[in-house]
Amino acid sequence: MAKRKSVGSVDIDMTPMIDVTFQLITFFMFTLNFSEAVQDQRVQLPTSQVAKPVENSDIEPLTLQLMDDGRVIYNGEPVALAALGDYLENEKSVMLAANKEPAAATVVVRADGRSKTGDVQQIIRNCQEKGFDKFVLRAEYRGR
Amino acid sequence: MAKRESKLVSKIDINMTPMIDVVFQLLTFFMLTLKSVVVEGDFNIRMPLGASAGAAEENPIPPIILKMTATPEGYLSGVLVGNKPVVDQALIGELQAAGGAIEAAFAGGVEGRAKRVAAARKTMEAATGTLVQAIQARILDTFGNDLSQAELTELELDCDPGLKYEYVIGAINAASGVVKGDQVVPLIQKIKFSPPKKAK
Repeated sequence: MAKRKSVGSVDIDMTPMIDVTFQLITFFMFTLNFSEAVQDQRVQLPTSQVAKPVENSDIEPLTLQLMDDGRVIYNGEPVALAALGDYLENEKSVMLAANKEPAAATVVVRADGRSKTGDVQQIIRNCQEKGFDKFVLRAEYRGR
Repeated sequence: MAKRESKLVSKIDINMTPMIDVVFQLLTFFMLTLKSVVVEGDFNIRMPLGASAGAAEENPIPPIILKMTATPEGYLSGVLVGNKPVVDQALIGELQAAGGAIEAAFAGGVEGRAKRVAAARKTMEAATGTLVQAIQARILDTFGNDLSQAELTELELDCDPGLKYEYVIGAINAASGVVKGDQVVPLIQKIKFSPPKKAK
């Protein structure tokens, strides 16, 4: 017991450990994926070798994700394709209120590889009815 | 004075424990939320508003019409460019089998699903690669050696509504560029879907 007292004053130098830990934190912070909401795991994109890199425009694009069962993920919630028109109407009025034309915004269609082409066309048609007319189809990029 | 100062300074001891606790919490949080970002790409498609807007625009070069038919299950059953079939039955069979394999991979239990799907997709990619080459050869044929024509030409996709989207992306892939080594030579940039036929 008496021996312990003399051991008690041993000091570990924490500086290198804290240095390393902060480096790690910084690394993980920067690699954090903020676009997680947009890359939804419920949608498995088809792959492509020649898809153009995603362009960032100053107007926030409208992303519609089509699941293989024909439902569309809108704001993180799956909605029926037939009900999409109402949500798009909503989107349109929000844009008009912000003094932006729906035609200026790009509609990004992220459709599952197993979904029906007819459903993709239905989405495009719904968007056209509300005045959106720039469309991109998104695919997973596979290096050659 | 000097004595008192030195005594004070040497005795200051910061308790590091709370800080290290917090730092490790943060570290764990960021490590667990780390997710590999999948690189994605876009295909522009040109869908003019309304039928009248499309008709008003005169294009001297007639559009290439790519027709894709589907089986009732949504698998590809035929590809036609300008009403002429592009691929033989063997490849169609291969593509259908690949589609079925993906379907089966999803249908199985959650256990090991990601691995099975990845394996099935590999097969699909290989089969689609052959399809892409066949479509590309046909499209290049129509242009001869004059690729500058390609950028002015429009591609119209006429697909059965039940067709799986995967095949459509394969066709768009074929039409929009040729991979040569490390570079992509762009082909047709104006791609659109045919107006839907009225359901009977």
